[in-house]
Amino acid sequence: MIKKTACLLLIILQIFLLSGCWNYRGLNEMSVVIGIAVDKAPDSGNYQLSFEITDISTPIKDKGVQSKIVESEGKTVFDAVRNAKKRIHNKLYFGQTQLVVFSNEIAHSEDFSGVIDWFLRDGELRETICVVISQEKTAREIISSKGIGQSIVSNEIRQIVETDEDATASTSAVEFYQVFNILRAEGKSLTLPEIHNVVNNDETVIEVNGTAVFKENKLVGYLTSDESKSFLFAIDEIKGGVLTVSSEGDDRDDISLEISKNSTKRSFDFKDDKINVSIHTDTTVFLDEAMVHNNALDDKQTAALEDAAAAKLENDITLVIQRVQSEYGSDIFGFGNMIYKKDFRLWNQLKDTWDEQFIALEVDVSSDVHIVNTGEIEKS
Amino acid sequence: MLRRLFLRDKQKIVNDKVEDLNEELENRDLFSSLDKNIETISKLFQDVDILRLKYITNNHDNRLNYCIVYCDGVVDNAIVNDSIIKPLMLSSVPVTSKNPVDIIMNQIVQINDTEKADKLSDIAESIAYGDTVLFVDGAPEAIVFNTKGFKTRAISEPDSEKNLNGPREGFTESLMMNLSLIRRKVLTPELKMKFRTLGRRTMTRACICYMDGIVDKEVLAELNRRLDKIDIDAVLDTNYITELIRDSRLSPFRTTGYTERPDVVIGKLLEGRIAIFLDGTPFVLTVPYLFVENFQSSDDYYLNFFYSSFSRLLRILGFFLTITIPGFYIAVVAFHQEMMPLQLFISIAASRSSVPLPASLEAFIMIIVFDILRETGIRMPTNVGQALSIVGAIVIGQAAVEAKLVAAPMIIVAALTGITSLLIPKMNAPVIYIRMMLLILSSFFGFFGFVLGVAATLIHIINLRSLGIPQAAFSGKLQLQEIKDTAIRAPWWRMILRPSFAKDKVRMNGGENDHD
Repeated sequence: MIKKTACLLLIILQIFLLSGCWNYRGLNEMSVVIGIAVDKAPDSGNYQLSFEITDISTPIKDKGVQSKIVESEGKTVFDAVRNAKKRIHNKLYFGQTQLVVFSNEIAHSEDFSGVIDWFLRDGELRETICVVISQEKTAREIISSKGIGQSIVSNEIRQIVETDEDATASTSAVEFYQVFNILRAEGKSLTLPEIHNVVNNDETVIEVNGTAVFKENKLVGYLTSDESKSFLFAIDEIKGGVLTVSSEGDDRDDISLEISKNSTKRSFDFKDDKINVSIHTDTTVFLDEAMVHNNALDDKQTAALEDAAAAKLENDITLVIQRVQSEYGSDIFGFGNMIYKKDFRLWNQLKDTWDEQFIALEVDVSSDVHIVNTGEIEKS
Repeated sequence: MLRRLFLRDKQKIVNDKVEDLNEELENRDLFSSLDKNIETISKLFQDVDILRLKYITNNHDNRLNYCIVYCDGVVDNAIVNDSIIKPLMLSSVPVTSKNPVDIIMNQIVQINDTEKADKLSDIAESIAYGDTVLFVDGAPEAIVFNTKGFKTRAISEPDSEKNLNGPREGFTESLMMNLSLIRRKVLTPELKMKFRTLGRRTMTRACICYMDGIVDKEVLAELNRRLDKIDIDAVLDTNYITELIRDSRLSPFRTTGYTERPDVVIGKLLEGRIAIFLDGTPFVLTVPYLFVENFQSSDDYYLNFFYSSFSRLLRILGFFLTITIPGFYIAVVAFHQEMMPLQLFISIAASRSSVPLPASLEAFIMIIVFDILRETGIRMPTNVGQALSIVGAIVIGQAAVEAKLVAAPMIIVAALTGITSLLIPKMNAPVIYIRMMLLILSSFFGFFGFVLGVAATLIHIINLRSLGIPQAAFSGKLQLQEIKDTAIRAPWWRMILRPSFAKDKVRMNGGENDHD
């Protein structure tokens, strides 16, 4: 009996010891932050944070959940977070935060790994938050614009960015923990999705607009949406999107190929103190639009189309690699990382001079395109 | 310890009282004189106005004087008149004074069930139970005729166990009728029925039924040992027995089964269980009781096994849902909000935004309200039923949400909890307590408390025993045959063996070769 009671007491004691620091917290005692925009005040150099919080005071029956913006300023990021409490009676809750937008100014001028430190260190934020760079003057403009599909724009941005790879392939989604990993990885540079504002039906909305390129800890430039697609081909991350080709060989693209499957093989060889990288893409596509052939295609036409698409793809990938080499000098393709993983000894030799090596890298691109389906138009 | 001593003292007082009462009758033999016997009986049944005495003198030999004694209302008057009084009056059979009782029993009275009695206590009990007792002048013995004939409820389908398929009979309050319902369905003499008496004052007849050859004799002996220990003055329902013989007295879970259906009792007897019938109640106890029996229904065996397996899984799911939903909801809403998907989070947050009470208190209140509604539904007179459903559904549901007294998700949680609890009526009691325990643990410690509570519940369930047989665990090693009638109901051609506590395990031929 005594033994039983003692066991029971021990078990009950566990509750107090092991339950950690979580706490009863009513849902009505918190302001739920869905998105955060990080800006810098031009004169004082303080951080200006804007939080998109859910507005649960208006009934959601009629219009769905609306959001509000809370702004705050502080010497550090966390200082600014706490200062927001001065304006709003509930504490900010970050457990459901979906998105963080950084202004391009901060990314340009500051050590990026320092700015993101709080987001990774704080216990409440998730590590899988979506990170994007604002192409507008401030990051605040992005989260204060209007969502089309959802009234909470931060959530919509996150979903656009995350599903982008499958549908349009115009950017590459990166989560917070990956930012941290890439910034510390050998021979690899960071890219982040790029968002700007556009006018749609007389309202300011957001649009994904390519990829921001980092060199070490700072933003150095952008890739356009089309370049981003080629970039995704080069790093074997493409999962969908459209490949447009010209049937005549002229400038006007009139054929749309839907990318169904792609596999990219990358290899390198080291000869005469020179590194050659070769990239081979093998893509399966569906023919989805042929403005010039209103009929079913025969085998010859299909073969010609495959060749044209492959040639265009090779060209596009080569161009984007060359542009990054010459303009940004930042190894966003992870070629160095590939060498690091495959030949650690060689990487140790190259490591110190990798920036120059990367610029001088010879890249050989080859592509194969297979059209497996020409759609529902049949020979009549 | 103290409590046990105290209980024993109390029990002793009751025993002594009953002892005193019975003592004067207990070992008293009958007299030879008719008048003296009648006087004793009359004194014993003083102030019992339904007692009838009828003096009879034989037409042919007026030296033969008899007296029959019975209670009005519990005997069949036609039998008494035609088969006892008439032959006694008209018979011309010479009754010698040597053994008049035997002659009357064997040659005169036309009754199938007769018995000699010479103890006053037996005679008193027989009279009370509906027998007619014949005293013969000059004989120190009396004859007990079975003339029981009282009105019983007709056999009807039990309200507490409705079925889609299968037999629709239900037990009544009459022990003999209940036994007949069993007897006529199982014709083998292996079916044993042993009578015993329970309750010092009520002296209620009970009957222990089992299949000789299937039942484990040790379990039977254990049951008899426990029944012997029962020392109570009245047993009005089988639940009295349940609470007196159960293994873990303070557990809210059932350790004995009960049913109102003869087919269920037979099914359990054939699996090696023992049934306890009690006069005066339609509920029959079955032991040992496995935990899965909480989820079983007789319909499972009468419907297609695909269907019954599904509905059994639903019942198990219902059990887990009904105990966990409120606790889970509170843990998520008040502690681990990051667990919810964003859209769900926002809509719950929005509906909770202007509600005055904290979520856990709200859950507590709503669950109590549901239990109040349920209890009202059982207790209220049937003709005010509509008022309850209107008040329950509209006022407490819709109006409370619109008045912002309760958050809408909480209503859904309470409703789901309530409905799922109705899936498993045999577990009403444990479910209420476990649900509350999980809710309280969750409101203080979040998921940690919740998981701890669930673990404690599972440990308790696994520790439960019924007549020494583990209720949830099986024979130690898990065999496929043993789980064929648990979470699912395997088709009959696959259920070759009986549950492990039966002595004779093989239900079908060929079972030895097919233990897959």
